[in-house]
Amino acid sequence: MRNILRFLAKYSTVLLFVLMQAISLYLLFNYNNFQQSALFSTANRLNGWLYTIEESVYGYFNLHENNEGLLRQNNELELKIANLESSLRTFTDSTKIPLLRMKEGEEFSLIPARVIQNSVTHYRNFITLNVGKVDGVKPEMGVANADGIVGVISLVTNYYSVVIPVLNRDQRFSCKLKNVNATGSLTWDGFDRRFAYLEEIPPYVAVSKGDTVVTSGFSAVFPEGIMVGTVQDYKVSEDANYLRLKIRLSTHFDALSNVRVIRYKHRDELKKLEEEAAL
Amino acid sequence: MMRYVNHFLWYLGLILLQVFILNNTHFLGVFLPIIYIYALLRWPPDMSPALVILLGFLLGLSVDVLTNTPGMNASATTLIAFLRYPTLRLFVSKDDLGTKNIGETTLANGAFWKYIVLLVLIHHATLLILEAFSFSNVLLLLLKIPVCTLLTLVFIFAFERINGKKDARD
Repeated sequence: MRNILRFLAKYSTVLLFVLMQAISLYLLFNYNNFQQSALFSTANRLNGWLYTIEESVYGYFNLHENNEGLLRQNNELELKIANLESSLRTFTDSTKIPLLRMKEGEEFSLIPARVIQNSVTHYRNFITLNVGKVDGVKPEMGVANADGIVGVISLVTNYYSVVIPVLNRDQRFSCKLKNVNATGSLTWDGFDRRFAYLEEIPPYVAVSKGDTVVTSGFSAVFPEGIMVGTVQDYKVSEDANYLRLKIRLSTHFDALSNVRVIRYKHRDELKKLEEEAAL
Repeated sequence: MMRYVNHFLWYLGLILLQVFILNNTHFLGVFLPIIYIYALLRWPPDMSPALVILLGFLLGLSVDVLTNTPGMNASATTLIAFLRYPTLRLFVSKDDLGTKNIGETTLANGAFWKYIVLLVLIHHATLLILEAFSFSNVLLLLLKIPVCTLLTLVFIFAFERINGKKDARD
């Protein structure tokens, strides 16, 4: 007994080190499990509060860019209104007006949110938003801003939520080439925040630089046609089965501040249906 | 007493500086200084090793919790908390180790900088390897370790300008 005690006393530092290291590595390798527990993330109450303070300071730094973004969005919206009004005029005498109206804002609604924490330098980046359960946010909802897609909600607490953005090596997004309707999955390689890659595009698809890439609408996360970026470069994969397109992202991830969480009205129904189909 | 308050303020201040300011600066896109470990490297050499490891673990974990990287910083920081004293003894004999804070002015003949460079390098290498994990881009990783270390050292050099005189006086 005494020997054991003496041994413990002699090597107490080493044992403590091993214990602490074990806890660290346990946290590290069970990372995905901790997505569920908000305690170790930026979504917990204290951190949310700290980051809200930070955002209230940093928010001013991006005012200029935000203003420009809002102006741009305004222009686009005005243009859209003008287009819609002109198309409405052509339908004025027909019976199709209700149908045209129904499309807008019926299936999807938007929850405005502010980014209170954001990273772009890691391989797995995360964004924290100032909206949570009480605002109607749920996991697996899409997030976008005026420029294009941002990411998907992964973790929600009462007042905050964490987004897995495009700039995260673990997350893929279903996207398509707008003009040829070819779908693929969007991934990020972990290095340059301006570019992502669209993979699994069939090699016979005619791609040219500058083509627009938008969301495919194949999941309940994003509606079809949200801007993702433009084709910067492309090459055939090593086994020549697929094209790999380098996409210049339209969203500027290092200057994010105003975003919208996209809520799909029939999401629960669709999920239930998909689950039943999977059985 | 003032000394403990001072250490506590540096501990807290460096975490906040790291998470809220430095993590938002990206030198050439991918490099950033990782300065919070300076709090731990300053503690006096006669501090209980168990306490250093415990506080080091908490230091890393605080940064982890604030940046959504559970375990990563905690692991790297626990490692250098453990290696702190042996590394110090590499460059300074037991008799020359006093009870003053470790600093440029309290360790003679550049021993401080040898100690700092070695531990910062170990910490950054551990942290960045854990972050990259699969060595998908070894070249970038090999570049990231020395450049981040260099950036950190610039900050530590600046901090030593603040602390140096006071450490010698205490």
